[in-house]
Amino acid sequence: MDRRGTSQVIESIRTEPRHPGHRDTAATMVLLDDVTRRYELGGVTVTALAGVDLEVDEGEFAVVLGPSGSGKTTLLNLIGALDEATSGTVTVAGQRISGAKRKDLFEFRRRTVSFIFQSFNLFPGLTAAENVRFGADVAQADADVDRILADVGLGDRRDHFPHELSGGEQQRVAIARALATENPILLADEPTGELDFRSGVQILELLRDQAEAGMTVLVVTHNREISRVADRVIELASGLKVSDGPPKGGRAPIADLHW
Amino acid sequence: MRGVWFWLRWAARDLRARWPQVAAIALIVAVGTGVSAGLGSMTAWRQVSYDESYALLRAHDIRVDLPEGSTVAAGTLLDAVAGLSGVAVAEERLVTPTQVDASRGNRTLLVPGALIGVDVARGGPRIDRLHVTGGRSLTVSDVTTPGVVLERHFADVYDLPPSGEVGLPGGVRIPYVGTMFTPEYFMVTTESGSFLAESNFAVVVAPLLVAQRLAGAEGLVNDLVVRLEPGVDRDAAKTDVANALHDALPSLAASITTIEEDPAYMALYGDMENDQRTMDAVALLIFGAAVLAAFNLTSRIVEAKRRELGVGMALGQRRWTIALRPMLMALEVALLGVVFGIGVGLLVAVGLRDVLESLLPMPVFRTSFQADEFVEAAALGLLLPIVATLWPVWRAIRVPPVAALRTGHLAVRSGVLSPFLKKLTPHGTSLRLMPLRNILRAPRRTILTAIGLGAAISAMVGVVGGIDSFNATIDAGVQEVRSGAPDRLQVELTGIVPVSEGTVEAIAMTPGVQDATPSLRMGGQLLGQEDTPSIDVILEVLDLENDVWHPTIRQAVPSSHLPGIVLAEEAAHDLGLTPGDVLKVRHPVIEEGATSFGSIEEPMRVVGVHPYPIRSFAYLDDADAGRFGRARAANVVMVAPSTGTDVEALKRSLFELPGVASAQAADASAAALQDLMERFTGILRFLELFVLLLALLIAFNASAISVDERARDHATMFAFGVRPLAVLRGLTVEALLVGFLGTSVGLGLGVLAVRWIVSGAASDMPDIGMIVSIAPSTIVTTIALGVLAVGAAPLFTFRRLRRMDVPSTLRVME
Repeated sequence: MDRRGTSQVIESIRTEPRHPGHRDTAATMVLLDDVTRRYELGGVTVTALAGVDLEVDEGEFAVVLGPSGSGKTTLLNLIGALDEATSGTVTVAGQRISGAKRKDLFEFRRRTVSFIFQSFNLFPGLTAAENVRFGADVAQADADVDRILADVGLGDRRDHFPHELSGGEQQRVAIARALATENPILLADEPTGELDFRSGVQILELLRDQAEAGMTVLVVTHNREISRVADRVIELASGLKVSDGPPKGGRAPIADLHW
Repeated sequence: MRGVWFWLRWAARDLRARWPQVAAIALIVAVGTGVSAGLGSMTAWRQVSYDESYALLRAHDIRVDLPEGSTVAAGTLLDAVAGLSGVAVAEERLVTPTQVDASRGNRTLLVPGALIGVDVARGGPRIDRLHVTGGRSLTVSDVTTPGVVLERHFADVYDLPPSGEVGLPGGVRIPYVGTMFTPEYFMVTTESGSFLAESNFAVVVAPLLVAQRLAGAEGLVNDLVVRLEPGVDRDAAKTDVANALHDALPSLAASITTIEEDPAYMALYGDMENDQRTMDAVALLIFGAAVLAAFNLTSRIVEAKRRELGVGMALGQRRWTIALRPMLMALEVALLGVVFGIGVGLLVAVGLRDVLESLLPMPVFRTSFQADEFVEAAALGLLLPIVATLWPVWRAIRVPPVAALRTGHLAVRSGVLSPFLKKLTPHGTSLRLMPLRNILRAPRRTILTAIGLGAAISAMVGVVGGIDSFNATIDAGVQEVRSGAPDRLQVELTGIVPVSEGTVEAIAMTPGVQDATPSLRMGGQLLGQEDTPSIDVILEVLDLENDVWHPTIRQAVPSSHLPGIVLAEEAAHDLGLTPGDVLKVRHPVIEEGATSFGSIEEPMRVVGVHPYPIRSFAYLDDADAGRFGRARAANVVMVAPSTGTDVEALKRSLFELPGVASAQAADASAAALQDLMERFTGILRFLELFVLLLALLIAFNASAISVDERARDHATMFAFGVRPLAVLRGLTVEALLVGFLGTSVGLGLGVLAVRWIVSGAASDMPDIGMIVSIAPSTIVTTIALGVLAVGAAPLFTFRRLRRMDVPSTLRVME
């Protein structure tokens, strides 16, 4: 699949209605239609997501907000093709994920999305530069590893192993690894969850920068403060979408954040 | 009590969560326990079976044996020992070499053997009794209507019926009425040093009068067996018998031995002890592998549980109660291993019993359950995993609570090799770099896994290398025997005759004989100096340059005024001699016209060594034949058949000549040795399966643990779209590297194990110059098996990889 041609594809499958805050010039990158995800846990059926509709545009910096158990990580996993919806359809970058073959889902993850995790999930046997190189290798992208590391402020830490880096630095390596894939969608699950405030802010700045550069960024968090810097806030509670729109009081500068 | 159950249940849940590894480690402990228990049982069975068998057949305590060709009038030997205190009963016998023709149908079966004449009056023999296994025993009626019995091992090898007819030299056909065991042939040994020689040596027992008639020695005997009163010291009695004989027959040369010096007895009991050493070595290696594997597993489980231990510390739990759970877990693994081990032990025992019974059949064979062996092995099996767990638990509970509570990837640890790892420049993609990096960044873990594997592989190398060494030793012998005219025949004469007499000429003139060389074989002794023990040898006098066969002479030195002797390399080594040195040799001297020999000691010069691995063969050139009292005498003729001759027909023709005791292919002994080795190594081959199973289990365990530990790495790869096959490829490469490392360690340890096993065998069988050898095929097979078994182990984890719950795994915080 050609990652550069997704906008055109998505235009051709668009359905009504547009989400709040939609920019007419932007293509839809994520489209969820009446998506439900149920699990069987110890003989009990748990509904993690119930009939969620969602549309996210190219270049949007969206925050999925909600308390623990609200379904926000499930939503991210469905968009990233790590999980499968019980019902409804998930379409990402023009590719219908629901019902896709396993082989195609691997291909989709290689070419379309990249992940950032709360606990970084760097490969401990690889240096910072090699971890970033991994992203490029997997996606077969021709990324400039050193430039990306410099962009995230780690030009001088390229040969350090993860255990030699601070938590904030590790998360920046994780972002660099995601960027090296050159995939159009970045999915971040509680990216500041294990970081101190200062490191967390640096990470948010980096993510924001990616959105401004045209990447679609979805951040899942329970930290309401983070949602203030987003273009759009999708709030979940008990598996239901309870609100969707720009942050209350408008988008705040990152410098105004505190937690 | 309730508290104990709580802890036990919790520990059991920990085990259940890792059941594949737990099952593997339990099986590893089981193999260690089971093999050890099974091998221990084998020794106990043999000890009891041998003791009871010798007791049942009232084996002799002392034997007096005159040299070949030497006889005395019946009653002479009995008279000499009559009145000796401590002697309960004594019997004279006539023991002569013979050839047995047991051909049936189209199968020609002509083998050398021994004809033993025994006193069958009053249900005798009363010493070295006959234990009938088919047909019936000898009775006095077999004196008038001649009948004999056949030794059972020989009959079994060739599936001979319990009664029939055999041919003896001189065209005699005689019925055999049964097959039987007799103590001297519980293991069939021959004068030439072969043991387990039943395929090539037939023992025929006859009433004494019949044997005397058949051997042309009416009224003569050459053997006395003595049974002592209970409690009488055998060595003291042996001295008394020697003195009594010397007093009565001063010129008589006789060999006086106790039952402990009987070749079969020595081989059986010595072999048992030697086997036990080998088995102990194998069991030790297997247990070592089990301990390391247990250590590896428990270390990793404890590491994986460190946060839980940290929580315990944070909650103020005492250290010993924190340690209790992993220790209980180790106890449960050990218990499981021991329970499995009893099953494995029974399986091993059944297998070994079958191997043993076919290899060493005895009149009494006890194979009862050896509870003490199982208890001993079970105690070790129980203890070792617990001991192996102590260190990782001790390490874990000494960590400050805050460090134990800290979350982070298990593998994100500093390693001593970090600075070196950075220098490993990536070639190819980062995915290809990962396996090597993963191995090097956790050296302790890698080394432990490699050593565990190495221990299992070394057990395999030890066992197979032991077989190789035996084979190499035999091959060296076979090569020597098959030098010269390879299809030559060895014709043994019924006694020592002058070469100028007609027998040798008749043999040489037989149609089909191209060349014939006479030789004289007699018993002798190479006398050691100071503390060096003397060595009994067969001295063979022959033309050392004849065309039929002569020994390969190495390190030859020119002859001198002293008679020259060619020793086996092993004999020269054991006596501390090199070519050119002089030693004293005790040898018989034939007195003209006499029926018995005297013996003298004289110095001889070592003029070379020969490579035959059995040290009891020494050669002199026939230029020195006069030293033996009679010039140009022979009791053996080596015959080279003409090209195109039917060798079987030639054997028959030679066998029918007067004065010929046997005619057989010279390499028959080589074939018999090879056959012996096949069966002797049966136990080792049986063990080979278990050590291979062990290596596979350890490999699987290492791989399964690796997959568990790297679960989050793999989930991350899947999140980035790496396919399971690519992940499997990385795991396989990593496993292959560990396999290679483990196999290298195993080969190194295995070489040491082989040396240890062979040195044990050499000390128990001093007559054999054992060669330490590990065949190239063993090395290649070991590398292939070791590396491939470990490399293949990740395949068993592929299903788990494919079915991984990626979202859950990504969120796991160790």
